[in-house]
Amino acid sequence: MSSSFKIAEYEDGVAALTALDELTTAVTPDPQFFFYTYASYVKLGNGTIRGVGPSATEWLFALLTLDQRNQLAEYCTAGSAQVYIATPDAEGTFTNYLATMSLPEEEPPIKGGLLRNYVIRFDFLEEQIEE
Amino acid sequence: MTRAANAGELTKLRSHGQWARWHVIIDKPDVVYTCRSTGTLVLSSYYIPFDGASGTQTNVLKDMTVLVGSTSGGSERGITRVRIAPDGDDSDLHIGADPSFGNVQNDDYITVLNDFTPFAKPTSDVNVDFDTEYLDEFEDFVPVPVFGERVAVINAGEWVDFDASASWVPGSTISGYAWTFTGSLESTGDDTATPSAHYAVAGRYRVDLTVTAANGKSSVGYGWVYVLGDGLSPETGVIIEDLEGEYQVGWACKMIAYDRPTIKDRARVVLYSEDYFNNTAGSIGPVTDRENLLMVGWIIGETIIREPGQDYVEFTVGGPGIFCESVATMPAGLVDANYPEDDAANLPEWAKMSALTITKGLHYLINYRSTLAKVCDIYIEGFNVPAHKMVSDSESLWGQLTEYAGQGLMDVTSDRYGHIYIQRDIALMPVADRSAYPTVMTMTDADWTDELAIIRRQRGEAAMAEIEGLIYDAAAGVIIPVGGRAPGEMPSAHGDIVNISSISLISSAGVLQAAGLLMGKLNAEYESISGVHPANNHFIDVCPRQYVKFVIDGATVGAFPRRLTLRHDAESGAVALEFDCEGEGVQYSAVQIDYPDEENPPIEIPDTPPTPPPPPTDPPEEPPEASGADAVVVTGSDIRITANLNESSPTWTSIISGGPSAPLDSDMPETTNDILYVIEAESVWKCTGVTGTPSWSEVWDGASLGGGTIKELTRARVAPGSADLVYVLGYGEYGFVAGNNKPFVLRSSNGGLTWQESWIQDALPESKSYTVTHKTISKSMGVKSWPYWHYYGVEAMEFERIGDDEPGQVYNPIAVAYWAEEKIVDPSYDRASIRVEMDEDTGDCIIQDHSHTSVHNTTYGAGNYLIDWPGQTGRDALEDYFGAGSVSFWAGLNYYMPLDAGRVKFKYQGMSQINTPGLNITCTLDCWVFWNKPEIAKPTALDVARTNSNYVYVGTENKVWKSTDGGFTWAQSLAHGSNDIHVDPQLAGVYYHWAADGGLELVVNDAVSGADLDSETAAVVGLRLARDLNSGRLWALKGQTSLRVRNNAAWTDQDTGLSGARGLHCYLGGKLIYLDDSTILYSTDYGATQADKKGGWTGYGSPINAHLLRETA
Repeated sequence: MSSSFKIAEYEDGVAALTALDELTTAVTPDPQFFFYTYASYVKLGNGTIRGVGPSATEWLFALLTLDQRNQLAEYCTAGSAQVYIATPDAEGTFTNYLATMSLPEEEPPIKGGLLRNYVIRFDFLEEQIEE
Repeated sequence: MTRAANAGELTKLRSHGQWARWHVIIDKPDVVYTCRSTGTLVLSSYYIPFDGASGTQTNVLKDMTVLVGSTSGGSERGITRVRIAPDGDDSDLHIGADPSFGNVQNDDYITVLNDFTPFAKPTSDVNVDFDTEYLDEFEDFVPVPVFGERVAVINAGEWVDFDASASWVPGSTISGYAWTFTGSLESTGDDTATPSAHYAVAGRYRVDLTVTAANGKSSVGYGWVYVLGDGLSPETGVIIEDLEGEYQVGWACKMIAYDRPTIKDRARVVLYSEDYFNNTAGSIGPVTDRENLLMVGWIIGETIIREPGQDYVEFTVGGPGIFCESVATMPAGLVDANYPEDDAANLPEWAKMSALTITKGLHYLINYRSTLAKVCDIYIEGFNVPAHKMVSDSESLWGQLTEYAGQGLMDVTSDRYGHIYIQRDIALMPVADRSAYPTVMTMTDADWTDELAIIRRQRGEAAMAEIEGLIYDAAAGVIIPVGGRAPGEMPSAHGDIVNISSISLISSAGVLQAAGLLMGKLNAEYESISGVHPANNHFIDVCPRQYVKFVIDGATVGAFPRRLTLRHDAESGAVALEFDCEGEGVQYSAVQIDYPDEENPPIEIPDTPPTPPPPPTDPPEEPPEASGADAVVVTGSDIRITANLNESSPTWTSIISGGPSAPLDSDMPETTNDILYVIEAESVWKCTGVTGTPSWSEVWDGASLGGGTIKELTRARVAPGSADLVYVLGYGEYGFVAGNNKPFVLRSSNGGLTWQESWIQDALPESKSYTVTHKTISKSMGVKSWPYWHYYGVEAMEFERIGDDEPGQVYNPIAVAYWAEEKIVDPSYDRASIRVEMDEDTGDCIIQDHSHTSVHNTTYGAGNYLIDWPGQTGRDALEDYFGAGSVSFWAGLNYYMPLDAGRVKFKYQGMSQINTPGLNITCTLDCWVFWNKPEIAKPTALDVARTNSNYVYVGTENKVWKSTDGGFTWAQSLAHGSNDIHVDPQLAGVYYHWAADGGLELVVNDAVSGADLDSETAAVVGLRLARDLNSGRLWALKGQTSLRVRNNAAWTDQDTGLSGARGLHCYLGGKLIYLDDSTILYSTDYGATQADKKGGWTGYGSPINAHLLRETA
């Protein structure tokens, strides 16, 4: 069974979402992910907290070969780009999003040809409703 | 445009997950016509001869924008407008006669753009706009087109509506509308006020509206529709800084654009947003079809900055107000044709108008002295106030509008959409009429972040407000001066006098009303209410007239937006509205100003001042003396009276028999010598017949306390001017909860027969011996895919210690609790835990992960661990809060948390082991910190206002409380404590008090006014204040060691070396009595000298109080 984590270039549209393990250079295993419902929180006058900003998610690849890194970086040649992804939402349900993809500003050190704990962040998640 | 946000919109404005993408369109108008100059500008007729034309000349319209430059499309020679539309075969282009525009060279490139912007129209000789001769413009006025909205940003395929029903014309009515929607697929209602147009293809499209008036005149205005799609996209590489709006000038925004060599002065800029509420797309706003609009304006040329070597350009976009402030113009003046003094018969036609009104004068500015009516919607109120003359020599177009409007007591302002409103400030509208203006939203503390910044006026801006102006009787050609003063004639010694003059008015009643409203505006309780509203709020604007209301401490306060900033965090997308609102005032009464006329000639001011009157030969009348120097002295064990205080060794007679045994405080009415009230720890005693046959009765005892258990009474005070209205201050355990002490006030209005009991609630309303702060956080940890231990954190939660800002109150953490819940399918391995540590650097107590402390055994694994700390008190609080038996305690953590830890941090780290890949984990953490409830500070001071005995002030060691209803309800007056309070004899809202942390303060309307009146900063215990009603001298027994007097704003030590001094009381005529541990000191010369009057009184005891008796018969 192919991965539920998917990615596609903005120009190709949501229909072009491709599982990570079906990319030209397969990216396996699936990343760990972190889902942030809101970008930040503000404290209101009554002491409650309001979440502001869009949702974001991070994909954490514990180990990544350079080829796999280059494969993912193709979606983000300018360091930041709009892409479509399929990733779990706050409830864990895989959902298609339009997102702004950002590669890490500082890459983790390469040891033995492997990158460890490589984190790709996706901001401004906009859920794509299938019509 | 404004309206109240509806319930659904308010729900969205209060939702989580609000953010936005802000976009900008920098307009790039299509070129209508190009040509090359064949010479320089011909100044005699202000035209440029040209050839080499390209384009259809008849498409060139009057007022279109013209660029002149040395390269194709360039504009370095200047940007101007088409003054006269060419007729199709012209070889001269007549342009705006801007004196600064003259550098045209042969072969320059001339580019006419399909665009219109605000230009001034300079005058020349007797004509306007250089050579426009007067015909009948002031007889039959041209109509002013109002589109409703001039700009829309829509997606291809959408419809857009307009509403021109607010188009207007002085002296006539609108009779027809004709719309042209170039580029639209279809449209409806083209000859109505409310058409719709359907656009299928992306692009920039002009909308033409021609309005016709019943007088036969017509005029045209232009609007723009930006249809997004493949042919039109928002700019990229533009940084949009904050949008800032002010009531007086409207909105502006700074921008930085990268790789933009062609940024030009006067380019229209449209800012719009994609808004998200609860992470769902969709804008909301007050105007249909324009919910996404943020701001419309133009680039202001002089703000364009290109740093050498940089690839970006900075510039400011201004709405009509900011932009027109930089549009230079020439002086503008109009005179009513019937006004004789300016010899109207000889004035040029463009300078005089029959039946001149404020509205007609403004119509002249926006149609004949500028292009504003073509490019902006302008709303003018129906203030058809006759004016004999309107003059403005302001150098800017906005300044002229402001001065013309100001003559009608109106303001000129502009909203984010670019509408211009010429209207009277809402603060100067009659209070009864204000209900017509919408309350855009009512904010509570759930709408602003942190806390509001409130500037509450300690005193009014003005002691008196004056409005002065003229009523012009056009038929008779005469002007009548009128003026009003509110609240009435006030000398300047009372404060500032604010005067607005040269106003044209309709009636003298109107001037009184305006003066009263101006006074109300200047003296509104809340000068400013500002804060941050974290929302995509497009509803609140600086105009038109609207309310934003605030719920402050349970009361709803009306306010008017004055300064707004829309702030966008490009990284997170979060939007916040910073607001600064002016509190609403009321209308004061006003009196008419009498102006001299023929019957009442003006007062002639003599060249030399008159000789002052001779000084009076007789000394001023002395106040009545206290005959016989009668006095009562109360000590901790005795109460004595003397009838010969004037003698060197008075005789003191005890009257305590049958009364209290351990007095703590006392007071006597001013109205009689024969009543004395004395308090003990748990009793109130009343003595009658003080100077005759004393008789004591215990009029209240501690058992009478209804709301709690008596601890101690501390002060007694008889209301000035009364013998029967008595206040007693004490404290006790409120609600019968041990340790929960609060102050209370007893009030009797019948000399002690019955008592009313009122408890002063401190900041901890619940009747518990502890208080709780609680926070919760929830986070999805995502799907875990491996059979592996996972550690994952939740953001740390930090609890600041409460009450740190309340001197005298110390809150300490006594227990913490947490509930960690992990939502996971496999419950057998998940873990949740915390542990406690102290940060050695800061002393903060940090609660971190405590490994392997938890066990989970429910379907959805849950941790339930409550940590006792540091003993039974915390344990009791936990049991009380969560219920006995429902708590499991984790012992052994006591030493981790010092009692004086400044704050408590939780750092939660869960961990899990999942055997089945693909499980999702969501964890929620609830944390509680229990704080002990401190002992309430002891009440120490009590005073009652002389001018209003319902004003009662209570001082405690950490606060000053105020009641304005005779002690029924209480509100905090000051957030720091007081040793003694003395209410000003004339102003119930003003008092002196010696702050618990040192310094004598003057408090005006619950705020400390100015610097301390005494330089002493150390805490002073047991200080007492007294004041001479006649001389205003104020005495203080400072530190119980010295007598000080404040006179003429200076302090003087009068008696030093006292020990345990108390009981200060002063009587008319400079008589003063006070006590210390061993003496009774009496002065008859305002404290300058004093003598010990203890006489043969032995066994004196600790001093409590002393009273000089009023004159006896």
